[in-house]
Amino acid sequence: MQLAAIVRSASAHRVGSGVTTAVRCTKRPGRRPCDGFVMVFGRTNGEIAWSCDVCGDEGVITGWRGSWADVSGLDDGYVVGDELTVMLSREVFDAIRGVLLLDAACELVVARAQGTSAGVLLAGRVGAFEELIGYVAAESNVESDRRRVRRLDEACTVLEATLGHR
Amino acid sequence: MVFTVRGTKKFLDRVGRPAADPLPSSSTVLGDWYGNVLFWRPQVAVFVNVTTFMPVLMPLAPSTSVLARFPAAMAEVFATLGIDPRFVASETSAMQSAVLAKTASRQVLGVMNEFVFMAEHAIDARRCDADDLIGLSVWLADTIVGPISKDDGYTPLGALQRLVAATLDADDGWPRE
Repeated sequence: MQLAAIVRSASAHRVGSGVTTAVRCTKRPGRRPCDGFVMVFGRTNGEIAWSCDVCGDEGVITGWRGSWADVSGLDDGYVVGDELTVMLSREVFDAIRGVLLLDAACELVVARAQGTSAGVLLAGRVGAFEELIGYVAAESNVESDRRRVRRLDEACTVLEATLGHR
Repeated sequence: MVFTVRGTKKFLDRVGRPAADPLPSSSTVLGDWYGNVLFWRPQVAVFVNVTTFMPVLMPLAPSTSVLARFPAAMAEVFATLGIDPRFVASETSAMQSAVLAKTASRQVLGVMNEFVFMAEHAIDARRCDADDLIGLSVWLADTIVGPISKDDGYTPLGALQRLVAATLDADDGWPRE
């Protein structure tokens, strides 16, 4: 699943560009969870090089094109509205990343999310965020884990506040 | 005799500006409806009821008259579902004018998104015809929706039937069929 998350993120960015994704490192150096985010670089030969920005764990992924995690073919050109950014906590973003039912624009907003020291930064057009609220709300309706419901509701609150809904 | 339609931004952009608070309360038994736009060809308006989660799909164009056309579309869906005509007549007569407002319930918003996903899947799987919006509404009304209780059979249709029965039982003034 970790490799799929890396592919999902890397394939949402241009080849030849490097970025710190919102994918969390899964290593446990010294038996403690690593606090880092995975950086990715899409090479022109089709490989995805990745490494953790804290512990330095790294690798190269090949043969990912056409896999279910490959989002490079998605088109969000139909989305309208101004560009905006939203900062979420890591925990809230993890809840959003678990939402399986997303349209292309929302899928790309989630896949392009970037890890920062302050949390996870989402960027996209207003229309995509409007749709994302609906998808997160739909997930919340059918989720039985109360903690995750809280996180999803929190995500909706932040997104709505950014869009000026409430 | 008003009812409130709470629209998504996409819906309000096409249909009109939302009214400022305080909003008049809906004079219908079913209460508020939520509205959204589907960018199908031709474009479709989807409405979901707050009380029963009943879905109604109808052509959006011309968008300026979609609220005026909505009660008739709702009545057609209800009639196809076999809902008591006395209830349908009472609801439509209480829907003489509509007030637009912003969305307020994430639960309804979520259900509306689920309906859109299911409708698109049903069309892709050739289970429903995209041109038959009444048929699509009727099909969606009998699908399982997360927030609806077991007592209502988990479906909007079950919730509507129970509400209609309770309304007709409670009001002695209804003319008997």
